[in-house]
Parts: sequence; structure tokens; C-alpha cells
Amino acid sequence: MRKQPSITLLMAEDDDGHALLVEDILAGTGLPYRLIRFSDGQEIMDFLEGRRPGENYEPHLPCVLLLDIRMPKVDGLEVLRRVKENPDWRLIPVHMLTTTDDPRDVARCHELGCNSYIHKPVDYAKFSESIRRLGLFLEVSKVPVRL
Amino acid sequence: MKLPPLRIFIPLLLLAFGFGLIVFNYKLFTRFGQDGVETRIAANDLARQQFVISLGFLGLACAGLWFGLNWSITRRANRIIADTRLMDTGQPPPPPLGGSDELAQISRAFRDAHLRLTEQDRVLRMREERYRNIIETIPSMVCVNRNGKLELINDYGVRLMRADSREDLLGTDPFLFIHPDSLPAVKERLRAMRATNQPVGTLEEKLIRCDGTLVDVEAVAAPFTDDQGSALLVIFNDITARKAAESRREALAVELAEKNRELETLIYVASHDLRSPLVNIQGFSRMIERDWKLIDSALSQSDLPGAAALREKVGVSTPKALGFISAGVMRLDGLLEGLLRMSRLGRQAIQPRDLDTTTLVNDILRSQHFQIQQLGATTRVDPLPRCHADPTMLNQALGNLLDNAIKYRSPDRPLDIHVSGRRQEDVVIYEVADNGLGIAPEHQQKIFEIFHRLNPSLGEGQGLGLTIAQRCVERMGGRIAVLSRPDDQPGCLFTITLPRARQDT
Repeated sequence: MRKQPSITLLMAEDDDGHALLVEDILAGTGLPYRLIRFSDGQEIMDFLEGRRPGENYEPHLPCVLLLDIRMPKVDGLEVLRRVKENPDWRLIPVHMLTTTDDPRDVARCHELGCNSYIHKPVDYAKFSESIRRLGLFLEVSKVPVRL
Repeated sequence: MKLPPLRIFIPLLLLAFGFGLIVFNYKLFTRFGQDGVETRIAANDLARQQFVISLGFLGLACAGLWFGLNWSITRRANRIIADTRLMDTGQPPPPPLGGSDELAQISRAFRDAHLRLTEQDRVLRMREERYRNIIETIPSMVCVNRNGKLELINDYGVRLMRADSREDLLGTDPFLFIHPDSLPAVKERLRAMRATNQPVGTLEEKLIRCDGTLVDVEAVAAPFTDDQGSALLVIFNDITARKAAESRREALAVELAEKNRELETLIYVASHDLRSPLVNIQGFSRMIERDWKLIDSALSQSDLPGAAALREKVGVSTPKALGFISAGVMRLDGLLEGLLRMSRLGRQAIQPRDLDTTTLVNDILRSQHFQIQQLGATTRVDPLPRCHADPTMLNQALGNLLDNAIKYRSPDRPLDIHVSGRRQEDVVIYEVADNGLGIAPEHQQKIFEIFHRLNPSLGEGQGLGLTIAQRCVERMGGRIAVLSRPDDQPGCLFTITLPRARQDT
């Protein structure tokens, strides 16, 4: 089947509902993802730094970050900054997935080196379409892995 | 040895000569006569003697006349001298000499000249007093500096500097009163003024008063030259009150900026935190809808008792309820979007320049050409005066007005839009008039309010068009207003007032 192992999505999202909806929509696409959800920026940083019991970041496995911006403790912008500054992580694609469409946020995230910025619209039809397309995009995109 | 003055010497000489002639000849006459030696010769001598004696008497008469004349002239001349000296001391002038001789005329002429000079002096003094009064009354500190010394300062200045007396200040070095912070600017200005010999405009300075306190002033200075040479006139105005107002205003501006930031943060948070639950409400409504469809289809195939009745009961109400939830969420999202747009409009940088408004309006109408044609509407755009505005903002404002004209047209008559404009002093006024539904005067107050919609049933919208138009126009330093159309014509009339193009002024 696929030569590349299925991508692991690391999603930082403080809203349980949003996480559930995203999971639901991605599941609907039938694409083989492994999704790990974190409730805030601190949790995802702990995961990357190997400070979480059980699951930890494995550098040789392809993974992608999905970050919300406004989160308690460490926000999405801070996670993005730390990831792109760290030589071990900076190849990990980072997709911002947020309810704000403020141009300043969009600009700021791209300045920090995000790979894409996806707005979560309130309209469910548009929302599910955005997530579905993100899934399809990830399906066809190659993710750098450390050999 | 000093000779007596000529006027004494001459009559004395005449007197001596007269007496000499008379006495000598008389003696001669009597000697010849007594002796009787040569009577023939004596007869001749007698005639000669008589002539000489007459000459002697004439000399005496001349001397007498001289003395007499001299005495009367000297007396009167002395009187003139005394009178003149008296007038010189400032006493009221005594009456002039009587008579009509030259001395009397001189006396009158002196007196007249004195009176005229006194009057002139009085007028000059009055004039000087008036100017002095003006300078003392000026509610500013007026100073004259000459050769690095304070030569004149008015009462106001003495009070402003809190000096005990004017004398404390006069003759001092004016630089001593200038605060070190202000000194470089003041010196620079002096240099510039010396180079051009022209007055210089206002400069804000800090002065050190005699009691050591500081005062904020604004100074203007002008060089001038008089009989004493060149000098500098400096006028200081106390701007303490203005400075206080300025610092209050600055504090307010800082506070306002702070409040604005707070508001922006609030709107930013609103856009995210208020939207997040909406995503859930909307998303999970859809999930319920999806699940409900499963239940509905299960119910339709079910033989369970009451299944049909249940399906009938919730078959309508559930989709209806979900529909309301969805519509409510979308409306809320629209309002949040509107708030965000307003907040972004507030911080968008504006770049005003001279604009050809006629082209701008025609471009907007061209973009709506299809709709205008579909409606059978007519548009008239008069040649419009140019204005000084930001193209994006003006485009937005005029675009919203034209959109509204189309949206709120009357079904009873074909739409007619008329855009006109005129220049009025420093501003241009544009008018957008239509023959649509119009706005009743009692509603005109409310139409610029955010989210306010007069006719929510008419077309889509969030009640933002006019609010945004108003915000755009006001950010460019203009005004927008709605007027009733004259002569009871249907429709409405909006005016936009903006600064006129710089090049046209």
C-alpha cells in the first residue's frame, strides 16, 4: 500500500468540541491518520520534549502539528515559535487551525514560519469543507522525516 | 588791563572830546580877549572858537543821546533776558514787553516761540506717555535687550519674573533668566536673526524667575535700530495654562490609546472566544441533525407502537429547532464579523491624496452595471469637484451609499440615482440622491448606529453599511449626513463633506 507510514497529527486544541468535530470530519474522509490531541500548548511541548508519560515524540515518524492560537498556559504562537527555533523540530510542518481570521495573526504566524493558516469558520458546511481539504492536502503532501 | 566795553568807551570819548573842546577854546578866547594884542586875528579866532565850541556841545549832546538810548535799550533787553531765563525754568511766561519797537517784538516772538515749544513738548510727553501706557498694559512680557543687557521691561514682565522691582531686572544679562534646556535653541535663533536681521516666530522656552521657579513661555523677537544703535525687542507670553492643558491632553491621549488597545483586545477576544462556542453549536447541531436523520429513518421502518406518532411529532419540530439554532448562530457570527470589520477599519492606515471623485463614482457604478441594467435604473453623475481623501475609504463610503440606494429602491418606480457635488470654501460636498423608499425624518437619527436596520426584512445585511461609511468619512476628517429630499420628493439624500483637493486651493 503506502510506502510512507501514515502521518501522525499532533493537535493542540483547548476546546473539546472543536477537537471532536475535527476528529469526526477527518474520520469521515476515511484517510489513515493517527491523531493525538493535546488540550493546550504546554501539553504538546511536553510531548515534543519527551516529558509526557507513555506517548512521546519519535523523530523518525512523520508528523504534522495542528495548532490553535488562543490556548491556556502556552498559546499556539509560542508553540510555533519554539518549534521553528528548535533545529530538531523545525522541519515539522505546522498548520495553524484557529477561529481568528485577523490579518495580524495571519501575518504573525507566517513570520514565525507556519506552513499554512486555516480559519475555522462558524458555518459548519464551510468548517467541515476546510478540515476535509486539509486532510486531503496532508494526504498528498510529503512530510520530511529524520532518517 | 581790560578796556571798558565799546558802548561805554565811545560816549565817554565823545564826552571828553566835547568838554575838552569847550574848555580849551573858552580859555583861549578869554586870554586873547583880555590881552587885546591882536584883535584882527582875535576876530577870526572868535569865529573859529564859536564853531569849535558848538562842535564840543554837539559832542556832549551825542554822548547824552548815546547814554540815554543805551540805558533804555539795556533795561528792556535785560528784562527780555530775565523773562527768557524765567521761562526756561518752566515758570509760566510773564507778559511780553509793551510797545511796538523791535525789542518788544523780540520779546513777543520769544514768548510765542516758548509757548509753541512748551505745547510741542506737552504733546510729545503725552504721546510718549501713551506709548508707555500701551507697553505697560500689554498682557505679555515686553523686553528690550541692548548690548547684552536688559534695557526695558514692562510691569507685566516684572510681575511674571516675580522681581521685587523693575530696577532689579534692568541692566542684567537676559541669558541669566533662560533655562539651560532652552538656551541652545535661543542662541541658535539669535544667530539666525542676526544673519537675516528679520523678526523670528514663536519659540517655546523655559524661564527661571527671580524666586527660582520656572515658567513656560512662548517668545517672539524682532531686531530694531534707533538713535542708541541696534537692539532686540522680545515679547514673552506665559503659556503655563496651555502647557497644563497640553499635558492633560497628552495624558488623555495616552489613556485613550490604552482604552483603544483594551477595546481592540476585547474585539479580538470576541472574535475568537465568542466564535469558538459558535463552531461547537453549529457543528454539533449538524451532528444532531445527522443523527436525527438516522433515527427518523429507523422510526419510519419501525413497527414499534407509537413510532409513527413520534415521527410525526418530532419530524417537523426538530429540523425547525435546528434551523433556528443555525440561523441564530449565523446571525451572531455576522455580528461578530461586523464588530471585527469596524475595529479593523479603525486601525487601517489612511493615505489621503487628491482624488478625482467623478472617475471613482463612475468606477463604482460600472462594477454594479449589471444589476443597474437589470433593474432598469438610471444613474446620473455630474462632474464632481476633486477632494483630498483616502481612495479606499472614499470608495467604501460612496460604494455603501450606492449599494443602499440599489438595495432600498422603491418597487413603485424605476430607480434613479443622482450624484452631484459642489465646492464650498475649504470643503467639497457630495450628494447622493435616490428616489427609493427614503428614510422618515424620525428614523434619520438611528441609521448610522451599528447593527441598526430599518427594514430587516429587506434583503440581507448586518446593519453596517452606513456605520462603515460614516467611520470612513470621519476618519478622513469629513462628515456624512442624511437629509430629507426637498419638495417632498421620494427617496433619500446623503451628503458627504470632505476637505477639498490641495491642488485646487
